[in-house]
Amino acid sequence: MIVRKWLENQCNGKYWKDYLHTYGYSKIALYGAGELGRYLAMELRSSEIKVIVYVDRNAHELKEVYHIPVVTLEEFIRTFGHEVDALIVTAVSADREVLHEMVCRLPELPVMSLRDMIFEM
Amino acid sequence: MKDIYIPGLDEDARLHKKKQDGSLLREREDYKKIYAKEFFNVYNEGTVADGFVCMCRNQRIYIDENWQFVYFIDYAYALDKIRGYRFGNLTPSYEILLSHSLSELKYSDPATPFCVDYNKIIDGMECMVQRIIEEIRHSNTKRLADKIKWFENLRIKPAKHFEEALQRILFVNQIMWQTDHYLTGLGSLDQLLYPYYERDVKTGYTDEKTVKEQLREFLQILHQYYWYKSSMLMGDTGQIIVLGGSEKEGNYRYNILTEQFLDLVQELQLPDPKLLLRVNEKTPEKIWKKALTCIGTGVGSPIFSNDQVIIPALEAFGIEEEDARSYGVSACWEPLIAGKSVSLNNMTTLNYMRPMENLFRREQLSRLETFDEFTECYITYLGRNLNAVKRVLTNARFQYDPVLSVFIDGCREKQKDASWGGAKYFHAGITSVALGNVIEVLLNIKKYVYEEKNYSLIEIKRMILTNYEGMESEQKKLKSKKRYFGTDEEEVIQLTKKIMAATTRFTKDYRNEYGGKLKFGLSAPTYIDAAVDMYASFDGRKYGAPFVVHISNETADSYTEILNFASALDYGENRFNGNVIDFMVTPDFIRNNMDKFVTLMKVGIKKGIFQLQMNVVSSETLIRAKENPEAFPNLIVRVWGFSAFFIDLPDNYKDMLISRALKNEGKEG
Repeated sequence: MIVRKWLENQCNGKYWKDYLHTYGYSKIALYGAGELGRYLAMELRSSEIKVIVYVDRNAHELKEVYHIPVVTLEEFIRTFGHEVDALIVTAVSADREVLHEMVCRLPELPVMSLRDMIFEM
Repeated sequence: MKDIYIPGLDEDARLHKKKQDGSLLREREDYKKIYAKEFFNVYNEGTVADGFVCMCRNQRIYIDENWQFVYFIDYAYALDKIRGYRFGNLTPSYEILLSHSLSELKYSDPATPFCVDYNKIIDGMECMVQRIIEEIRHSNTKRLADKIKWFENLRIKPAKHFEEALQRILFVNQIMWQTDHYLTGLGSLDQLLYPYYERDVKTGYTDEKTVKEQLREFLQILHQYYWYKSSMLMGDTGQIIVLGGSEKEGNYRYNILTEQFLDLVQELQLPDPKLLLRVNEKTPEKIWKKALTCIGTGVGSPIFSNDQVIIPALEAFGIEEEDARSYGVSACWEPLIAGKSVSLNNMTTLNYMRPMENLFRREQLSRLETFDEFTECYITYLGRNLNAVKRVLTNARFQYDPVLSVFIDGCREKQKDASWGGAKYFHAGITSVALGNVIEVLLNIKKYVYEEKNYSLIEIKRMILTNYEGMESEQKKLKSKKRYFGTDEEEVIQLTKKIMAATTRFTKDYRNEYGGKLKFGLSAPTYIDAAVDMYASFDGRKYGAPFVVHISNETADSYTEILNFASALDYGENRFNGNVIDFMVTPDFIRNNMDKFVTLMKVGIKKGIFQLQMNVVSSETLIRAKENPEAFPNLIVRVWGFSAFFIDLPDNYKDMLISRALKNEGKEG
């Protein structure tokens, strides 16, 4: 469903860079270094919005993806939390859990769900 | 209900149970394999029209010998394959088959594939009529010769008599249900039937008493298959009868049938079919009293609909004056031009709380330094959310529907299917939920964040996204305070109007593929379902708890307060897709204050409320009925925009009604 909507957006000339620009973000983190996270980073590669870091449960195995570091949520909160404008959750099933953790640990940081946003573009 | 004989009721109860435990579905699958193979093969492999003809040839014809009229649905042969977005929530033009015979409707020279299919549908109906006649001949039914004559006439000439008109309405209605057009409305029956009544009474063919008997049976017959017709909840059948109306010069339009329908619904005490009474300033006292006495029995009908607000709103939207004047509604409250419109008025729900949740999740909250900035930010998120809503509408594809096209004005003339823009009106409607909660949240934020500075936005974010973890006292405080939404404070009214106007701004440019526009209203059936997966909100609502019901406020000081609030809102542009005030009233209150209640209603109409419905039941009765359902099998309540047996509702709906009744009676904070 998400990939279909993504394709539909692209066919209609709707791109992530333009959408995220409306929020005024320039540096973001992506939760989930799987397929959706990678597609999003690729689409944003040519834009002014920089993906600073991936957050992933398997960070220890992945280390980096497309030269972007992959860290655990714990490391992210400690090291990158104040460097980015928002965390975008691409791993749909983790959304609630990540949000809860972030609200308790880093409440100022916006946390967005890719699934919700893809319909709004 | 004990005193009323309803043939097939035991069968209905049996099937209802089977529907609930899933065995009906299995039985139906078996039926398909053994008996209805040809039908399903034709339907699956051929066109919809071929399937319809096959259905008419094969479906079970059932003549109930105790009834004067013929009405049956063979659920095993229903056309139910979904080939796109189903048409439903509509009212067909019964008038087409009252003023024409089947043979008159056929194209003499079908030039297009649509015309060929259209003729096949008529052929199918003629075949069914012939089979019904044969079945009647072999039965011992009441009024055998009359019934045969009515069905013979159906093939060759327009309806002449009142009873014949009733039979034709039932015939069209059963075709709609048999072909899976969910939530099928009944239209303005007092107006539609009156010319037949008048002529028959004048010529001595019938009299008032006989007509009333026939209408009683008509309502009882339509109540059959209650389980089959119910959509999301038992009772959600969309079988709404519209009564009353307004003349061009503003006079109130009603007749003896208006009164008879009100009397009969009161007498029968069945939740379905239900009534909508159109009213204006000139609605006579006796109609008000009849209507309020009817609703005072707890039957849930009628809902009141204010012509003085709705007709101008429809006209301003682009509905022709005569059509606007004859408006009906979709299944619950959404204004609809019956028989001329295939506008789906409830395509999806706008959840006003979603943008609020997104704001707290996604926004850099420290940037929002004033309440005005916060409100504007909410409106930006509302716009984003409406993009998603519009996308749902744009992606909907409608199924080719030559059956419906026979009963929608315009399709035959344009030689176009309803799904290809054959109908006169093809607008899109959405409902909305949670505006009441959002107004509450906004005004709480104004007070506690920007004025009294008790909390920061970050603290509120933590409260709502953790479900008030460790902040239970704040939740209780918010929940127990008097609510803003639905009060007549100027600030509440202006803020509500501002959000409604913003919704219009984001939706007014939408056009569907046939040029139809988008409309919305403040009532939705989803106040429980849409809240299930939603975080807590800063009005004391906890995670998953229901939203405010339509336009309601059980903590308001008086009924006048909410009427003032609702009549101060602006229902113009595209904001008229159902805006219902929902009252909880105790039976004693209406009984002991009838004159005052009539005055209250009249004032509300004059001031400009849109619509109003009420639950007339006490918390004590509801609590006892939940604890001991067998003792209250016939207790009726109003849910969403329909009436239902309390016993049939899921527990969360029962609990919500109890909670609202308790609040209304001042017994729960």
